[in-house]
Amino acid sequence: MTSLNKDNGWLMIDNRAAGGKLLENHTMSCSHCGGVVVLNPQRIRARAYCRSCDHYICDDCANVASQATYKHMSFAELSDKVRSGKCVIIGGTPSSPILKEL
Amino acid sequence: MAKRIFQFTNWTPTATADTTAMANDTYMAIKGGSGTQLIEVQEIMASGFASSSAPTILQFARHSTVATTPTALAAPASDGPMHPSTAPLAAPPVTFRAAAAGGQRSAVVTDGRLNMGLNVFGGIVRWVAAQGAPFSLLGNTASLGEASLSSFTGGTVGAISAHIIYEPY
Repeated sequence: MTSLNKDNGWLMIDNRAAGGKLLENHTMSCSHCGGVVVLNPQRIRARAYCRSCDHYICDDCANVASQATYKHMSFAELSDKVRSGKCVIIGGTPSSPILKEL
Repeated sequence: MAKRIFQFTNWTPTATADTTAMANDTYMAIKGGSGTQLIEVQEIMASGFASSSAPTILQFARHSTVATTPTALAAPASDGPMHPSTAPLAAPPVTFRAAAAGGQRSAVVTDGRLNMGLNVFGGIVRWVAAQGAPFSLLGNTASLGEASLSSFTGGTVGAISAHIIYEPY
């Protein structure tokens, strides 16, 4: 069994030279939009999880995925479709791109 | 493919609102070299050189309006492969810091973006993606095909040097 946290990135902000503090945080790559968000270590509510991808997704994609009309497509699937020339992205948002079939 | 480094030395980001065209030399942008290109951003690092306290609200974010006619990179910026044996790309990604009309950072609340704010009075910010979990760009159109490292509205901007490590497919 793999950990869902295995895909976490790392963000370091070092402001000690300016009299500030050192921050180190995990970041998460969303398997739906391909974006990266900084994780809030003080978050209590559950992180959004996609059972189809077996991966955490960002809150915005979770909102889109909760819509009744939502049809699942991971970023890898989207990438495959676009790179194979089957469709192009003509607008929309990263969480809900508008595709045009070719 | 192969990893590449896009870097820009000693530049000053300008605080620019979302959905506003960014001025030349105030950002580092990367865009797909074709409508089918996948770019995986794997690391971003910026270090500050201001001589006094200057909190700079750096962000790495996608664009809702892509730049038109990007200007070819000029020194002190550069973009090249990390490995010396890297073969030339058929459709090289477009990395730029100036354009006829600058790209516009998306204001859409469903866009993932990396907040990399720091005090550039000696501050350092570095983001490293996990293996296989990068910040991805797809194609060369909005809203997945172009992104930039730039400064959001507010703060007191100061000079930085930065690099972006990415891998095009």
